[in-house]
Amino acid sequence: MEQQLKQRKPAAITLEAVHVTLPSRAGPVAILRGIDLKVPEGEAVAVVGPSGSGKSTLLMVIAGLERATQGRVEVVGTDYAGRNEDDLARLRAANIGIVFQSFHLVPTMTAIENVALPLEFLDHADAFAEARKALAEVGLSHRETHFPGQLSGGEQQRVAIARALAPKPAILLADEPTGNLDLVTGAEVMDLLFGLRERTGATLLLITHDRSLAKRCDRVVSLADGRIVGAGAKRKVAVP
Amino acid sequence: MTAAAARPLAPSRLRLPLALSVAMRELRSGAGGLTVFVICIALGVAAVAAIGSLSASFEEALARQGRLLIGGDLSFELIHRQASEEERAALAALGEMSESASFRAMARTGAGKTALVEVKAVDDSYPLYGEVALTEPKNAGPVWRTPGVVLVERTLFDRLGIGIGSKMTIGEAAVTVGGILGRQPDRLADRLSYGPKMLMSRATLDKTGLVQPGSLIRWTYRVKLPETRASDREALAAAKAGIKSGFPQAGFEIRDWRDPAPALRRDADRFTQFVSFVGLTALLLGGIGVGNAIQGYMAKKREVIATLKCLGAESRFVLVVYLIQASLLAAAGIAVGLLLGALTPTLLSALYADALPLPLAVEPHPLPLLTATLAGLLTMVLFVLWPLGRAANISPAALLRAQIGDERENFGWLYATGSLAAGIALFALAIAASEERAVTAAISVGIVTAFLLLIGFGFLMQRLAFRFRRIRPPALALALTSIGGPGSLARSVAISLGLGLGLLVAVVLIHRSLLNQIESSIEVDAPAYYFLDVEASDLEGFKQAVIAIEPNAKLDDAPMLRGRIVALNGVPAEKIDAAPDARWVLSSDRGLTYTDTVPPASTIVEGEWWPKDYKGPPLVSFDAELAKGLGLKLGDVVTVNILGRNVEAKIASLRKIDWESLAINFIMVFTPTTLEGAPHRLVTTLELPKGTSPAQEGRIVRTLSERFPLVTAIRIADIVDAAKDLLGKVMTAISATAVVTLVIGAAVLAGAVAAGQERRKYLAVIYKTLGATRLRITRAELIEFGLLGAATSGLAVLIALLTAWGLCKWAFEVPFVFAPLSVAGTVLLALALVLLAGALTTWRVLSAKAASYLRAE
Repeated sequence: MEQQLKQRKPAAITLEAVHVTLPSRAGPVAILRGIDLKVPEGEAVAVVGPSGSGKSTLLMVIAGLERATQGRVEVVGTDYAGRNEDDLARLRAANIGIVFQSFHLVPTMTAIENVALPLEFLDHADAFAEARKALAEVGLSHRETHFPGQLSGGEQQRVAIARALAPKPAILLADEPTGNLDLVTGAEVMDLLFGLRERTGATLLLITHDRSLAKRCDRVVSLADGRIVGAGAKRKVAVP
Repeated sequence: MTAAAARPLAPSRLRLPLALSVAMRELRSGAGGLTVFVICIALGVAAVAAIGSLSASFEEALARQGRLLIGGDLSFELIHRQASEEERAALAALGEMSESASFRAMARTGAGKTALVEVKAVDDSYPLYGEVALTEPKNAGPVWRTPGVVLVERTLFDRLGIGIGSKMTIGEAAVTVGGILGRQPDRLADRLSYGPKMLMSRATLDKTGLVQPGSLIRWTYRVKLPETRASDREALAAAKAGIKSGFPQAGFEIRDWRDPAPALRRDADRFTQFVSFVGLTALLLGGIGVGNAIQGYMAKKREVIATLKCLGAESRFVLVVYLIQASLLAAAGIAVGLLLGALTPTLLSALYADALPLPLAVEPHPLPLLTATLAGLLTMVLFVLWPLGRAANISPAALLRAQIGDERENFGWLYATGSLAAGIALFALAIAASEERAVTAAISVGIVTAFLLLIGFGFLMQRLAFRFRRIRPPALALALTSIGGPGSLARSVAISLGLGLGLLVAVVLIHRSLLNQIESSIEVDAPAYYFLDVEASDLEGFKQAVIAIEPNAKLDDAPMLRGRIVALNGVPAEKIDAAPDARWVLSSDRGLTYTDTVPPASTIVEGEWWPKDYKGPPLVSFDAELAKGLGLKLGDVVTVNILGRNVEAKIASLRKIDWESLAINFIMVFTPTTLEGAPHRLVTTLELPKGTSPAQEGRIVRTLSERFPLVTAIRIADIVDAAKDLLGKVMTAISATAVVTLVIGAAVLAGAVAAGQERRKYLAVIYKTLGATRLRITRAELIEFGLLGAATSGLAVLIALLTAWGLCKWAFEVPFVFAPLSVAGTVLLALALVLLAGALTTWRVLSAKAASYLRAE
């Protein structure tokens, strides 16, 4: 039943024959070579693969941070074709939250300002009240006025998660969110991420090297050399 | 938190308050690395604001103190003759009138000492405005009105060894020194003075016997209009027009309080124009520092920009955030610059009150400050918009993807065009603010060329270092690798050091060449003395008196009158659009002579000299260069007012005159029949053989002044000293602005060095890890800075040599002199600056702890 429900849901992310080739001093580098992927709304997908397989590029293509050289990308019903960079920026602000391995907090802003920023981009009148709530949900109410440099790695990542989820995005993208954290902290952060994701029902695309983390997702997609080389169903979710 | 359904795209709009808020959050934690930004813009704006404020202070002082400076609302000046009864009556009818006579004379003491004095003899109405300051004895009142009593400046005491109460002789009158003369009204209206000033009454003047037909005396009639009309510009103009039309042949040189010293104002304007360009160069150099700083800052902000974009910020929003930051910092820099610039007149007044020709109007002057603000903002946009636009426009993926390189960073044509437009606007502002727009435009092109040349040279150094980086010893190889590699300081050093140093060396070389010209003229062919007001009938006796003491002395003489050009080809002088370097000819009276032979140190370049015993209509031979500046050619008619009579003469020839010889020469030489009937006297030059002792020289002058008391001796060395002194002051002022350029260059260099500091530390750590000793790293660092400094100094000296040579040859027309010691001193100073930067850098680089860098990696 659940499987049927998931299958009936419209796709939050659709990639069709996506190629990405980047220029470099040594000549063009093919990063993605014909990716087909469909992620229904609410599904959690783990993307695994060796370094250089194209995982991060895949995430950036979905986030609209990287342009597909060929193929079609559609996210939350918006086809990226013909959209300019600013259209995609507004799409991200409204619909996509991203959590990075290196946190990417704005070092000159306090924790609450970092979390409030995407809400301010969306013109939320009560951006700071919502940011306060989001910080409370990640257990960092006592760190609101701290700058990133004054926070531990785990705390910084929790701020990043709060920031990603505060605008209540339809899609959450996470790129090795525990890559810079120790095991214990990493586990805590991932518990928090999955817990919040469950509660919000956001579609999750998680890039990870960690097989145990991947197992917590509905589905695992394996990438190698820019291609999907394996996709398995977990928790009764169908392979696309 | 509950996930929202897919939201539609909001329309694009600029959220200025949010951008401001984000910008302020960023700045709150400090503008790391942007201190140089503020310093550079502050110094550049300070240079422009200071020059503009000084100029405005001077002009305002001239305007505000106009009445004091000319000693009345109007002044009417005649040379050689007093006003006629009718003229005096007409002048007196305008208001209260005061008559004075100004001339040069010899003061002689009983002990046989002599000195040239600048005498002013005044009537009892003097002064109409202000008062005569008596330094000693205080509160003695107008003692100069007592017949036979004079006031003198203190310097005469030293020259003649006299004091208050001492007796001396002026012309044929014995006078007593009644006190020390301080500041007096109308002193600026007086001509360039070669001796101490002396104030006496008309009654005392009459006793001297110096008022003779043809004597070189300026008669000035100052008029104080009734109070109701004094400030009425129309009344002022009407008064001038009335006198001009009533006495068209009088030859009055008329001034009013609104423009009391036009020649001084014009000189100040031209000086300001030149120095303004040094200021503009300083501002542009500061702009380079600003550009470097913002690029470094934006490089550090790549991650933040990427993050903002990942969170949904549009490029335009990012641009506005950083433009706001740049504008706020620029505003801080501009504010500091404006404060420094606005305070400069006050500071100069406090430090050099005695050396200034008049007290400056020290309050802030809005227009130059506004111009400096605009120039500062345009400089900011010129150097900031493009790098900001490129950084804001960059794809967030490229920002996050360090490993793929930067091939996809776009050029940012739109922002480059915006920056270029700001640059054009900056030069347009400089050109619009200038009187000589063609010259200004040419200099602007020169500045841009110099910038491009230095940047190109920096690039060349980088390429050469890259090519030869595999050289031995290893320290040199490390230095060349650093110069030739990414993050090279080559371009920064070239531009920051090259401009300031080049400017300074050029100023030093031009100064040396001008000084050399002045000094060599005296040694080789210049006479030792000019004697004014020699009676033709006394000439033979005069010569004999000299020969009797020094048989090898050479004397030359020429008749001399003074007259004022009133029209050229019938066009009144005030309506003639003369070239800037020829305007002075029309501004006042000029010396005139007549002869039937070509004067010495002159060459006819056009036309023919008149035959001996020429009896035809008046002809004149004109200085060829000035004729060009005035638009005159052969056959044109020059009208000169001499002794209240307009004389019209046709130009028969044009002469090239070697003025530097200091031989007797005149812009206008007339046919004898034109002038010989007018009352006049002779000017005589005395050339003494080499080795003549000061005692012998003193004896000649003493003898001549005793035997010919009405004759005035002017020592050429005094004139030359006055010229050297003036040149020294002008060059010091120019050097000061050039030093500001060098200081800004130092700030730019410091900024560039600081920006690359982390990379250097990291490299040093790697070198240490690989076994390099501290000595080897130190050597490599110092070699790098030494090479950059030496190469840039070499180019700067080359540019300075070419510039100075060109200016000496074509603008100043003096032989160029290379002064190796002066150049070496300046270059060593600059090299010391670079090596100091290198030493500081090395010290910091060596102090970097390897572990922290490696762990961070």
